[in-house]
Order: sequence, then C-alpha cells, then structure tokens
Amino acid sequence: MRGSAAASHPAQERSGGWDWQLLILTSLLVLFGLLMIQSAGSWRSDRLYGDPLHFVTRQLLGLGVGAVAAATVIMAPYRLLRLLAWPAYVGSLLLLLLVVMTPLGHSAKGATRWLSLGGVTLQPSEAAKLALIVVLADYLANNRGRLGDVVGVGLPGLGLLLPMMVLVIFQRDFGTTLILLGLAGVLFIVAGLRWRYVVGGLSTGLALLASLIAIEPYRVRRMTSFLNPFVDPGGSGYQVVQGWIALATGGPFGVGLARGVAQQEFLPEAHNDFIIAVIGEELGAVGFVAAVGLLLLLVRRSFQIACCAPDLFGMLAAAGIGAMFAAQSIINIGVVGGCLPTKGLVLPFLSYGASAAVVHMVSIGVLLKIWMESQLQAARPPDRRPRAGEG
Amino acid sequence: MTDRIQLPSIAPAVESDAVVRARALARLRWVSAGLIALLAAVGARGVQLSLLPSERTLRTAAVQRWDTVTHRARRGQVFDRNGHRLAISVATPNVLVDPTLVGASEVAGLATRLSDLLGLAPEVVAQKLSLKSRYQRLALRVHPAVAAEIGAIDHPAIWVERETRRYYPEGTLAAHVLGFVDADDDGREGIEAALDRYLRGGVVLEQRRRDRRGMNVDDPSPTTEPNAGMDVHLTLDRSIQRITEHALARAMERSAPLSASAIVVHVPTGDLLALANAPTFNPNELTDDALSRRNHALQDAIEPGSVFKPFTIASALAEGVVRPDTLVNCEGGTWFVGRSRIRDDHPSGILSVSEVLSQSSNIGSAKIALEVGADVLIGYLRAFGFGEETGLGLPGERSGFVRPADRIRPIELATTSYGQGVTTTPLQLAMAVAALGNGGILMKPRLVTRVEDVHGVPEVVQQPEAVRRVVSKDIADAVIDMMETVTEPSGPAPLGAVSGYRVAGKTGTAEKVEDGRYGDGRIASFVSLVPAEQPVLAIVVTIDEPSVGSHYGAQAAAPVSSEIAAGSLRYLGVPPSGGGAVDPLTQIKPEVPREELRVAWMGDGWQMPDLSGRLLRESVRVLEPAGLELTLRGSGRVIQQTPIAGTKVPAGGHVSLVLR
Repeated sequence: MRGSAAASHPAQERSGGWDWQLLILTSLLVLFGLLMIQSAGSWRSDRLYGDPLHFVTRQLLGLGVGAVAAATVIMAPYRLLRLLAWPAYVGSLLLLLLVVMTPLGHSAKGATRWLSLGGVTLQPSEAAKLALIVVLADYLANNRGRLGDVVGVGLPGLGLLLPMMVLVIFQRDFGTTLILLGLAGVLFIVAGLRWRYVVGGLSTGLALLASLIAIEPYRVRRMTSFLNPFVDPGGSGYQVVQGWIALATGGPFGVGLARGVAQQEFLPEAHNDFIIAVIGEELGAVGFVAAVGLLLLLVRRSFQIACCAPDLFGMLAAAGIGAMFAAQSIINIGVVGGCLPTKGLVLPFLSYGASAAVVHMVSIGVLLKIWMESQLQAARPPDRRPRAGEG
Repeated sequence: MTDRIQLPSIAPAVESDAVVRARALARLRWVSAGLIALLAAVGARGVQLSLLPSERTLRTAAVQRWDTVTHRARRGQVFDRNGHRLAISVATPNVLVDPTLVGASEVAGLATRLSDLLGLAPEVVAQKLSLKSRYQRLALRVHPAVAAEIGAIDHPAIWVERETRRYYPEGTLAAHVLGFVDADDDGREGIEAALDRYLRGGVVLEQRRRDRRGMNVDDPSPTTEPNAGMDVHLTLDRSIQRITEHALARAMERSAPLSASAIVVHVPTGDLLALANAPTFNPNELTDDALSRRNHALQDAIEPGSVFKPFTIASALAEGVVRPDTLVNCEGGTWFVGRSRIRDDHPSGILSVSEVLSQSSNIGSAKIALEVGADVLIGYLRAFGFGEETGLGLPGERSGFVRPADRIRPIELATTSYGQGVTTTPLQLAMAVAALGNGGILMKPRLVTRVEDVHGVPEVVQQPEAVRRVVSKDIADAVIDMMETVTEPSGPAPLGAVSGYRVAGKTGTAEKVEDGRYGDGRIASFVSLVPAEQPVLAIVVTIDEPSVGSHYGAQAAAPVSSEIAAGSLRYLGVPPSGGGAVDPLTQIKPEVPREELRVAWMGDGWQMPDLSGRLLRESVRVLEPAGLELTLRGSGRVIQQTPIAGTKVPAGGHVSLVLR
C-alpha cells in the first residue's frame, strides 16, 4: 500500500521505515494522557501521597518501561515476536496465578487484580490481554486454513483462552474477562471461523454473561444502576452521576485545566477510569471529542496496519491490538456514558495505570514492527518475498 | 475387494493462503468498522451528556457542587449632625466548626489547640467538637490574628467566617437613641430598630463551588458589597450629647437618683441635639440589665408637676382670661376645690399672674385654670402636644395622659393646672417648652435629617416640621418673661442660671404615685429656654427620686440644666446675652444641615463635587470612597479641578487637582 515511499529510500530498507502516523498518534495520546493525569490527579495524589506528581511520575515510569520494551521488539527480528508469544502467554498465566493463589495478590476497590512485588504493583491482567493476542495469533496463523476443523483446531484455540479467563474471573475482573473473550472472538473471526460458530460463540458468551450475573449478585446491582444512575445516585449510580455532572459542567469548552471540581473528591476514579469525564469537564466537549477522535484514529490505524501485514500472524496480532484499544475505549467511555455497567477498564494512554501503560506501549511496538516488516517485504522483489502467512 | 474401509475424510480440506487472506481482509474491514462505529456511538453519547445534559443532572450538580450562602450585606452607618460616626459595621471573624468532620481520635488534639488559641476551656471545646451537629459556633468576634492562626490549622471541619459586627465607636454615647442590634444584626432598640429597614443590608446571595466535603473550592466572598445598608444622619450633636451625658453623670453622683434624663432641643427647628438617660449602657457590651437600657426621656410618662404651670398660664393669657399683672388671691396656702384641699409649699397671699408662675403657687394656677375652663385649657394642653406621641419615631414612646375635657371634675382640672393627675414624657415637655421659645409654634421633634444609600443618594430627607401654632408670639414671649424671673438671684431657682446668658426656666418637684396614692418619692425637674431673649435651646432635665441632698427641682435639676446650657452655648458659640442674640445653628447651618461634599454614583459615573477652595485633605477624603485615580499638583487649596464640578467620571476614572 505504502511500500513505494519506503522503497525509494535505501537507508530505510533495513528497518522498514517508521509509521509516522502511528507514532504521532501515540505521542499525542501519551502527552494528552500525561497532561490530564496531572490535571485530574494532582489534587488527589497530593492528598493521598503528599506528592502532586505521584500519578504522573508512575505513569511516566510505565511509559518508559513500555517504550524500552517496544524498542526491543522493534530491534529484534520479526519472527522473534512469534517465538516470544508462548513464553509471554505462560508468564502471564503464572502472574495471574500468583495474584489468585498467593498472598502477593493485592486487593483494592473490591477486586484482587494487583500483584505486589517489592513495592512495585503490577496488574497482570493487562499483560494477559496482549499475551493472549499474540499467542492466539501465532496459533491461528499456524493453523491457517484449517479452522473448519472445530475439534482439532477451534477447541484447542479456545483452550488457550479458558485458563486465562478463569483466572481473571477469579480476580472478579469482569471487564477484562469480557475483553479477553472479545479479543479471542475477533481473532477467530478474522482468522476465518465459520459464521455459525461465531453465532454459537456469541450465544455461549451471552449464556456465560447471564450465569455470571446469576452467581455474582453485586453485578446485578450494577446492572440495574447503570441505565439510570439516578435510581441510586449516592450508591451504585454515584460515579456515573458524578461523571455526567462533570461533563455537563464542562459544556462546550470546559472550565479549564486543573479547574475541574469532579476530580476533587467527587470522582474517586477521576485520574483513571473516569478520566474522560474530567477531560469533558476541564476541556469541554471539544476536549472530549479530541480524545475520542485520537482513540478512533489509533484504532483505525491499527486495523490499517493489520490489513497490510506481511503474514496472517501480523494481521491477527495487529487486529487484536486494534480491537483491544477499541474495546477498552468503548467500554470505558460506555461506562461513563451510562451505556454499560461499571467495569474498571482504563482508557488507553489517557487513564492512569502503569501496567496498562507498559502493555499499551509494547502493543504500539508490535504494531510498528508489523508495519516495518510489511514495508520491508513490499520493498523486496516479489520472488524473494515469503508467502503470506508464513513467518 | 479390500479389507480397508474407505471412510470419508473428516478433516476438511485445508484452504489456500490466498483464500484465508482475502477472507481475513474482508472480515477485518467489518470488524474494524463495527468497533469504530461503537466507539463513535459512545463518543456521541458523551457529547450529548456534555452539551445537552438532562435537567436532573443539572439539578443534582447544583445541589451538591454549589454552596449557596446568603448573608447580610454591611449594615448602614449612623452619623451625628456633623458627620461623626456613631454606629458602624466592621468585619469580625467567627470561628465555626462542623463536628461531623472531626474524627473521634482528633477531638482531644484539636480541642487543645483550639482552646489555647481561643482562650476557652479545653473541655468546652471538646464537648462542642463531639456534638452531633453540622454547625457549631466555637467563638465569635475573635481577634484577626487569632483567626489567621485558626485558619492555618487547615482542618476541613474548622473554618473562619467573616461577619460584620456592629460597633459603636463612641461607646455609651447616645446609647439610648442609637439602640443596638442583636446577634443576627437586626435592630433591637432605638434608631437601630426604628430605621432597621433602611440600615439593614440587603441579602447577598453568594454561590461558591465546593468539593465533596463541602469545602469551598474558589476563593470565597466578593469584596464588593452591592446591597450595603443605608446611612442615617441624626440631628444629635456629639459634643452637646457629651456635655449632657457628663452633666447627668454628675447629677447621678450628687443626688443618687433612680434615674435621670435630659433633652436638648434646638428651638427653631425642633432638632434633638442631645437626648440622654442615666444610668446608661454600652451597646458594644450588652448586659442583661434592662433598666439601664430604658429610654426614660420618652418611655416614661410621669406627672410633670410645676413645670406644667407655664402652659396653664400661657393658655389663660392667650384666651385673655388674665394678663400678666392680673392679681390672684392665693389664700394663704390652703384652698378647697369642692371638698378637696390643695396647698402651696410656700404660702402666699395675693400674687400677680407672673408671681404665680415664679413663686409656683398651686392655688393660683388652679384658680386661673378654673377661670379658663376645662374645654379651653385641655384644648390648649393638647395643642402643646400633651396626651399624644410626638412622632419622634423611636420605639416605645409613650403618649402620656390628659383627662378629656368632658370628663374632668373641677378638682381634677385644678390639679392638672399644676401638673398632677396628668402625665407627660420629658420629650413632650421639651417640645412644649421649645414651642414657647419658638414664638408659640410647636415643632415636631426631628431626630433624623436624612437617610442615604452608599452612593450618597438620599432615600429619605426630613425637614423641620411645624405641627401647629399654639399661642401667639406675644403670649409666648410673655410667658418666657415670667420664666426668666425664676432663675434670677432672688428667684426660686438661681442654680438654673447660666453666667452671661439670660435663662427662662421653671422648676418642678412632682410627687410620685406609689400604690395609687402620692408617696415620699419626688421627681425633680427643670425646664428652660436659653438665651431667654431669643431662645436657641430648650432643655429639660428630670431626676427620678433624688436620694441624697435636696429633692427639689430647684436644687437637684436646675444645676444640671445650667451645666448643660453653659457647655452647649459655649460650644455653639452663642454670644452672651445683651450682645445681640444670634442662633449659630440657624445662622451657620440653616434648617437643613449644609450639604456635605460627596462624590455620588449616578448609575453611569461618579458625579464630581465642587472642590474649589477645599483643602487637600478634605478633597482626598471626599474622593476616596469612589476609588478614583487622583493626580495632584501644588499644595494648599484646590483652585482647579478636572473634570469640573457636576460632570461625571466613569468608575475607576481619573481626577486631577491643582492646588495653591
């Protein structure tokens, strides 16, 4: 698609050329995110930790670690991505196990999602998403064209998803469970799963959802509150009502950075889950649209990269990452908008969350690597080009 | 034949990479389009919430995020006739606490800190901190420095609120006229109560954003006070009031009475220059002693006694029943009206009408009264203002009691003529005496000259007001002539004289009614007009039950009146009698006190006053309230001003003055 430009620059041939569009989008989101985390979180972090820069420094740390990891991915050979998929998957499972099975698991906000390791708190479920994407991409690419074999190929694929999902459910992390399920669904669909299985999977998902609600009564309360948060504005509907108030207060142009009131005690999750509401309050509908617009462009770009990926693995991995960004954004904003029950999912790059920052940076690294590889191959003479689908 | 059964292959054919890739690309487009559409949809929902919020959201937001504080704007000030401040409002800090925000573990520590700063017992503070309440006043009117330290504690439960507090810079001065305000800044007595609707500041609605704990987010309180109360200008003269209170205080020491009152009226206008009572109180430090707050001068209706005789005689002269030299037989001190006996303290034989007044013969005045007749005499007394409120406007004024002419028996008419069986307030007496001094015209007492808003725009202007002509000037002058003999060295009340001035006076020593009959208690009184040849001041002094020394008006009350008259005449610069009487108040200050220089807000600008000839100091004081920028050249008096007088300067505008 865009190979001709890269091909005319021999110097770029080795690295395959940067995807400036993705880089600029990511940079804008990272800067916007840092700005808003500082704006929305400084009052609170000062109160909680006596340091107004507490959140922003941790976010920077996460972004930094993620950037280093992303650089490593970019420098390494393309095929290493697939080799690393399995260790990443197993490692994620182990970390999730540690959260669930050992006292290292750290609880907050009614869920055990964090892992405390010598002062560093990790959220393995964030890594699990990316790990699932690459491992499923690798698996489905290896078994390309044979997805019609449900027993031999389809079910083992689901077997990769299940342990992760179970562990995440044990963490009472419903949002991530849904995301994992959705990501697996997207990968299977793109990989060519027959429509009847897609429909069957969706029904199974819905059945799972229903059973989850049945066994977890606190979810039922959330379910009833999200559509009309004013039923219980002081309880289950509290955060959503506060989010709406923040958005309404912001109006078209907002009240100005760091001037929002929502972040000051009204919205306990102002700097992470509900940061879009703070953006709406402080920068108004203009800021809100800018944030959503950047995320939209990021998702669109991810899928564009998927479309011109050099092989099926790259295509699936990029699509999975794009779907991850999209799903996180949709669920996060949907929760704030009262379209979905409260989940606890971060908005990519905009919300505070060091683990998520690492994972999202690495995801960008993977996307870049896939893009570069596609550029490299487009630049090669056709006879030396490996066949699509082979890594 | 074969022994191997050919089963159909259960493994589906492996699709080619091209097929897989084409399908994947197609599905990618669908998936990405779907996800992007969903993201756009939730985004649109967010924009909707942002731009078209529901009524309910807005209502909830208003309730929880806006702190609506209503408070009273600054109360208006009260000035004396020369612009001296008698009552002002100053901002004082109050320390408040929301005990629900104080954790149980914090109580002890906070209580110790607060009690140290506020000088309260730690137990008291701790008890307040533990209450189940959202609002407790820890301390009111604390020192600003203490308030600053309290603010530095920075605990969400504790805050300092600035509240305007009424302050009376002159302390006890004119306390009974001014009255006081209660804790809510509502006027409770005196002018504060009477003119509360002007003085009170309007309600200021202030909206402040607050966070979840209810703490204010914004810097609170605008400094401007748009609804400040109006200022009241009184007729009182601070200096004459001081002289009067000082004289009363000395009378309290000398005679140890229950109470004493004095009123000084400016004769031509009816302006109250001073109105004082003793004992008095300090409105800055109110106590429970209600007696000291009683404004006897208008809230006590007492039997006036002999000070009433001038009005009886004035009526008789006006009706032509007697002339000053008409002789009256005073019966040697005892006379019967019907079966009731009346007596004179100083028995006399035949006296002229003048002597009836100066010797204060009850029998003489009774005979004159009976000669005049009930209808006529009561009519005159009512015309002098007795039996009805003067309309001063202060709360609690009594009307006094004059028997109706159609229901008065001869003995009652007789006693009424010398001030028994009739009640008046000292204020009524003062106005009636002033009417004699004013050529027979009764004035309405004036206490308030004007009420102005903060920009100097008058809301109420009161001009001196004549009620009616009671007697002709000749008759009034004749009575004054008679009264002059009272303070002559040979007269009954030489202590009422003022050196250098002629004084027309009349003493009174009324018996107090106790349990329905006259008892031992006396009210000594003295009414006077100075200078007698052209009265400027009418003074009434009443001393309720002098317990040390004489209880006669001539001894107990006359010297007080003399002291007040001497001090006031000297202060006013009234030339001594014989040198051609001039009323400085009417000369220098005509009926309406001279217009004070002011820069007034006209709605679209400040109206420049004429500053020419004014001192620098004066000009700056005048311009200061407008907050105009000022450029000065030279020194001395203003010879040129830009903009010129009468033109308007916009808010924050510039004024330049040239002085020489």
